[in-house]
Amino acid sequence: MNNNRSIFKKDWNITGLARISYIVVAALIVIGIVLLSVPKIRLNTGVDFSNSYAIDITYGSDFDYSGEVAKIRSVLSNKVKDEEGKAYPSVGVIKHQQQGTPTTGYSIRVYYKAIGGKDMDTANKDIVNALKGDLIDDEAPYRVNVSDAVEVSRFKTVESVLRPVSAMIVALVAAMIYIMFRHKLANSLVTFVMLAVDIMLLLTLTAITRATVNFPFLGVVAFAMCLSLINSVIIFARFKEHRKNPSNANKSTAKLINQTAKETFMPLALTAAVVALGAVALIIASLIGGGAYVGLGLTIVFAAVVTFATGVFVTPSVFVAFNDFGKAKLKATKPKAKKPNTKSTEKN
Amino acid sequence: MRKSKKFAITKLVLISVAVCLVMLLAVAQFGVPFTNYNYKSFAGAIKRGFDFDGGIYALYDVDSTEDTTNLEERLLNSVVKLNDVLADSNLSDSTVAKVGESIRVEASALNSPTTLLQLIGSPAKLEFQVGGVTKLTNKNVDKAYVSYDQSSSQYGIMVEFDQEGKQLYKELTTELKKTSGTITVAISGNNISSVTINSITVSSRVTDGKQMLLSTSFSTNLDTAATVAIQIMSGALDVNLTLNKMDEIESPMGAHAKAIAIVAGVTAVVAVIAWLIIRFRAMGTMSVISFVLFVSLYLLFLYSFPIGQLTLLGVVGIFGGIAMAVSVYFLLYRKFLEEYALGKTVNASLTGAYSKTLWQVLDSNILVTLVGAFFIILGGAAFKTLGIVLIMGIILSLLTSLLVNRFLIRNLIAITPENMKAYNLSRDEGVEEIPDEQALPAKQKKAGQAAVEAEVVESEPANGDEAIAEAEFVVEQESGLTGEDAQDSAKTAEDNSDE
Repeated sequence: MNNNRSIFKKDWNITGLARISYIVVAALIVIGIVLLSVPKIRLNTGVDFSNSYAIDITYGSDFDYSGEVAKIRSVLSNKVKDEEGKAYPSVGVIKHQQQGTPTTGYSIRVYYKAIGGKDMDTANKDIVNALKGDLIDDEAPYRVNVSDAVEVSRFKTVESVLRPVSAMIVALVAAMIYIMFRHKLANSLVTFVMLAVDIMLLLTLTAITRATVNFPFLGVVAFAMCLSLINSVIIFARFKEHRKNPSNANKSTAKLINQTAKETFMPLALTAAVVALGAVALIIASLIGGGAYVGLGLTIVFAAVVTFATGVFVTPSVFVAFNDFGKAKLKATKPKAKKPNTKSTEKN
Repeated sequence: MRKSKKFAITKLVLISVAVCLVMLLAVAQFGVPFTNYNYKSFAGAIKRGFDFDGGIYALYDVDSTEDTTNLEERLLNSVVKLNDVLADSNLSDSTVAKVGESIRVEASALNSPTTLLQLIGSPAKLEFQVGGVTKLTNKNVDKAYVSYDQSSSQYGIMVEFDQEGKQLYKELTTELKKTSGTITVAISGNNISSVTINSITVSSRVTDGKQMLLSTSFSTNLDTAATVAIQIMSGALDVNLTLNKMDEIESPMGAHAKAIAIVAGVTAVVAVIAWLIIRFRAMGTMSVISFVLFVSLYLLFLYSFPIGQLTLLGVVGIFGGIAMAVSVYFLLYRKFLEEYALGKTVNASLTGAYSKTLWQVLDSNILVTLVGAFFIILGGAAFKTLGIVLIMGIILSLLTSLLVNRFLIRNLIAITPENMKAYNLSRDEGVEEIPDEQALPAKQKKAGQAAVEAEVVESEPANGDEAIAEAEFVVEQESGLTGEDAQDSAKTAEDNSDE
């Protein structure tokens, strides 16, 4: 068994795939920009970031919580129709909580999201009536009470979002300065570009899958930021090691970065796989337990997959591009006439 | 030799037992024999926030005497201020929302929020008077919090005015400074009738909009000071609120929240353990011991370190910590395999792997620590937890993977240095093994060679055409290459000079 085995064929040129990887990334980013700029599509924000409606369902005695929640979900997602007989597209349980104690009386609070452009007064009445129809037992109507719908403001203020976002921006600048000192300016710029690409792809995938975005999503963005930085730095450090090796003296940047990408493939893939596996477990367990973690789990999977894929397939090409660009600029600033002079000096 | 083997076995056994004990303390819950004491694991005792354990909700109605002009806007402003009050009171994962014409607060049951929530519904009126005339009230207060006054060595309440209040207070103090006048501070409200706040003798202009309030009522009593500060803030809201209802509430994640998080965590840990054992057998088992130690210590730190409360953001931070830890193992083993493939012994390969990946590992860990530090400093209460959890994971992963893991593998190699089946290792045919005795001189030789290389690089011109031209010329002269080949080689020389 060869311990140094690689899943790549020896001659597989990752930087040669630059055009394909750029096209794929660019296409996804364009889709993302389109999705994020259309008001009705955008990110599927939850109660933390958008206004919602709440209904309290009060029970006269102890009840089967899971059974009742399942009924409520069914009513909101299937049974409430608009004037054309279609289900309200955006109405669904986005959060539910059991309130109270045996002494104070139990209730379930249901939050659902507002539908843009719809007449919510009518929709709310329809929803309340549908819930009453399904939850209230005709023989014992006093056991369950369904309140009117009430509008609820977003749970997180703009200030509470701005602080983490500004912390992320400052952290990114600090990280770039560190990379610039440890490696060089071009690497620092590559890190910035890749981070921007990773965040954009994460947002795109989140928008496409309609995963619910709440405050913890900001944590996932921060997590993606860390993974992106780690991947870039691991590649840079490995490249630097190759460059220092005298046996690589005759290899070009493109060849060495290819070699680096192949060698870092497995460590990056395994790290991403462990994170993704944990997140998939979160999704599966969440689906069994009520579905609250699905959006979070899904976005963590996206963060792991996106940062790994771009780290291995895009970072090397961008790295070469930035290096070539730097050299081209240097060439442009130095007069070409020096070449024969140097040669003649050497010959003399 | 036999003695050193025995010593290595003893060390491994002792460390394994110690790690098992730490793991047991981290996850097990048991009754201590012959006592009534029930031991609760670190994992079970970690303070979990609202996301996992639910807490309390309070519903506030607008006071019936309240003017209804711009009520919606004033309610929303009050939501923002209440958010600050709760965040300052260590309830970072609480939520405040306007519900119809009421305000609803949900908070974790930790840090006894009941009193706090009652105080919010019990506002105090703060008035700054000069000669019996009220010049400013707490409606112009942006923040009020407990602070320690260094000059008088007592607790006080720091009041920060909003923009309008700042201007008014500046004008007031400018005027009073001329005559060294005094400002009387009157406070009234439920349960604080006994509190009297010291008058302020104005000796200088206050331009920053901050004023420390001192009182014998709370000079030494932190709780009273905190109570009064919250009541001042409650009175500073744009609407006066009265508490309508307060009750328990379950986690919005449902009853299975904790179990779900545990399943996810265990899956990630088991995946790492399985890969290490399957791929590297005995050596992998040593890494499993250090990884289990990492997880156990992580749980211990999460329990004992003041992270606030474990929220969903904290869980994301734990994912980050585990990712950092496993990436170190994966990088180390990747390098280890490369070193072994070159013909080095297991021992020399391990040394090579650790020395060559050190900066790769440190670079990435320093970067993420930097990011975590900024989350702690600038990210607000919720991101502070994420930052602490992330940095905690980094420190522990470096400790266990770079020190403990290496120590364990060294001892394992001392016990069985040549059993490649136990390590699941093999080389390409034809690669001869370099004995340890030669590996070290070879390394020194390489270091010497690197120094010579460095001298050569230094003597080369910097960048640009000059470098290319010179290198191209040398390549052409020395190797007989011409055209593109020479240019390629020259480009490489230029790359080298860049590095």
